[in-house]
Amino acid sequence: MSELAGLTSLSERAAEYVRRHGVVEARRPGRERDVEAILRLARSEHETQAPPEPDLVVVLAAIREFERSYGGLTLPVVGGQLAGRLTLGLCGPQPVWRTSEGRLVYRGADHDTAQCSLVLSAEGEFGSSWSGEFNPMLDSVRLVLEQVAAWAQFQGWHPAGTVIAEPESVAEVFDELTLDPDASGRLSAWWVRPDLTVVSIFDLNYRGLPHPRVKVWAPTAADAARARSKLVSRGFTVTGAAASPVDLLPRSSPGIGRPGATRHRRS
Amino acid sequence: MSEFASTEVTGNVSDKLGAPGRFRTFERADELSVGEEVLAADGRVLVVGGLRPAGAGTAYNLAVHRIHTHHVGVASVLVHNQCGPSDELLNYADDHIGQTNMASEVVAADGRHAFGVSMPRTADDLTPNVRVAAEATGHHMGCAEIGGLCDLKAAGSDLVGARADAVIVGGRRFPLESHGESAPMCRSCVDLFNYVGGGQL
Repeated sequence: MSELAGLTSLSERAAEYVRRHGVVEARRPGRERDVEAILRLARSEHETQAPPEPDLVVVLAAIREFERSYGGLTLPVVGGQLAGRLTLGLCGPQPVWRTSEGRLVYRGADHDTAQCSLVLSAEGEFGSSWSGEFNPMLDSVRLVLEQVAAWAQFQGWHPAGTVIAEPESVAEVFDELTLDPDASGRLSAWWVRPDLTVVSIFDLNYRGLPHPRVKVWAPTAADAARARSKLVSRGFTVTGAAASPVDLLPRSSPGIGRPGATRHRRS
Repeated sequence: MSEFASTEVTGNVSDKLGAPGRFRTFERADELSVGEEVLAADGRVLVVGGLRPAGAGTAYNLAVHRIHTHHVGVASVLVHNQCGPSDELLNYADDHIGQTNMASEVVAADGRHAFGVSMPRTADDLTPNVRVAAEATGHHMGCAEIGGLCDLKAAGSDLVGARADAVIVGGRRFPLESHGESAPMCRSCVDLFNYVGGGQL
């Protein structure tokens, strides 16, 4: 664990979570291949195109730094869009591509149940991709780890609901919320008080939505119902109350494409 | 078709009726424990009294109009005997190699089935009932299962009791070597199917 350079920049909460729950996975043959070989392939593929792409140098350098900082780190995630098991590191076939908007991005994380790709930009933003596009969700990989650790503080909490609105307008409904600076950034914010937490974040798939989803959680079902009533009384449309509580323990799952997964053949 | 070692479940009939929603999962017969409960055709709860090895041999997936769930034995115990995705799902996945990450087959209780792929969707892309379920459970709507549910609903099926299988589609996020592997449901889909199964649509 200590060989990963990126862990020194974490808050004490996130560093402790990674120390307690993180493992550095060995690279799996056929899934995460040799990073330098992938980078050489990416460079050769992109350099055949005209005009030359100066940002390719930037993204390849970013990948090397990302691998040095986080490559292979695997963590259980108990809540949020990434609930399950998350492994950081370059992965998948053709992991570097240019989006239709012209951004060079790379597939930088594997997840045991998410059906999209988890992608990073050369600038370090973390997001999702379903069909080659890039949907930024969090400012950085560091913030991914901070939020993974933050979720662990709310194990067993109940969903009060989800609102699609300006995040600050939702947070203002509740008194005495304070911003969690370690878990907040430009794209996502996290407010807390002892009996409530409010998280604004873009979903893995947020096509067509003007704002991030703002999700409110409370320690008991009764607290959640009270918070939901308050949101409704302020005129918000509230959904998402039928979601599961935040996991008490990381869920066990064989995962997508894990070693030993059964590849099915027709009968 | 596969090799198998079978287990016979011996049961004691109780006089209880199964509460709706009480039985949500299937468990391998050889992993049942004494005292666990199974459901009979008439709604009675049977308590597992013991397990007895019943031999080994070649087994087949049995489907009647695409339904793999049956009542078997003198006690008419509810069982499910499919293992792995259907050939149609694997063919559907083949048709989408390099275009998506996941393909799913959703089967309604009436035996109708439909397919979907993982893709970015808006709420407006969903049928009204599936949209209600997705919004209620906070689902992001991108999973392959959502597409199958919408097509099933559009075809007139009741979604109560709907089940889904999903497999990897290679060539985009996953290498072709992984194409056709089974994929577990994501947490949001588990919530969504529980919601649908609860009959709240």
